[in-house]
Amino acid sequence: MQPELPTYLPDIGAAGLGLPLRLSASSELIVLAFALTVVFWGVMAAIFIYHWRRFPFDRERLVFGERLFFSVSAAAILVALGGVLTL
Amino acid sequence: MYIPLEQGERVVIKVHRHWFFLATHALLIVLVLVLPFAAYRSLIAYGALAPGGVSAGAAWTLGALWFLVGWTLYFKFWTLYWLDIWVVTDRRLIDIDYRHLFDRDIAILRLDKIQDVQVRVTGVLGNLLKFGAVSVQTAGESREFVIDQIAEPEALRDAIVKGSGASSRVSG
Repeated sequence: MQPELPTYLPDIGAAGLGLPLRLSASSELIVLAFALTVVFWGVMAAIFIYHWRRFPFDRERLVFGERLFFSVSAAAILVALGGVLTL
Repeated sequence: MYIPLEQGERVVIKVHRHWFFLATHALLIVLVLVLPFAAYRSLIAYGALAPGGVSAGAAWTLGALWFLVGWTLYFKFWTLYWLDIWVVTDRRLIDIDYRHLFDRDIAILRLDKIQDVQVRVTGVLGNLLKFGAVSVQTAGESREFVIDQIAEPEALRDAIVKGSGASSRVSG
């Protein structure tokens, strides 16, 4: 004789799945993310400078790109740093 | 990289890939940047995430860092875009082909060695936005030099043909 199978699945609801989830990030994790991202940016910026300053053509455009890259990057780093200081 | 021009040599035209490919990449980066914020908002709206789990300072920091990563990756493409160039002088054709930041191929051809120049424009976008490929065949070499996705390929062809006296073909 076959065991009787359930005809429906129980409704465990959002609470059964542990929802809503609560995200949390410790101050140490944020500072680590800040440090790693700035190191990544610094390495890439050095590589960009290496190429931009050695390239023999389109000098004006590369100089403009260099200024734009560093201006916007500096703004983003300052915002991130401001956030870190308020932790 | 040092590519000296010869005494009295004059640059006639410089060409890059079409701006459409730069814009496409920018759009892709913007989408990738916006995606986590949209997902975060949506999960809160559907009740899967509790609001206020991350402090304002942490949110600003993470947002700015995420933007910085996207901005840097965009400039990697921007750099490759502007460094990948064909330069036609009144004597030579200089092809600087950047595949990655530390992987480049530089070819210099004398215009008098060029035998055949072919322009190929394909697809609706290529015809609408006027981008295509130019290939150059040289005398004594089996290698064909090709630059793809460039803006105004006919202008490049005309400059090469004018300087070299080579034959030209249009297809696509």
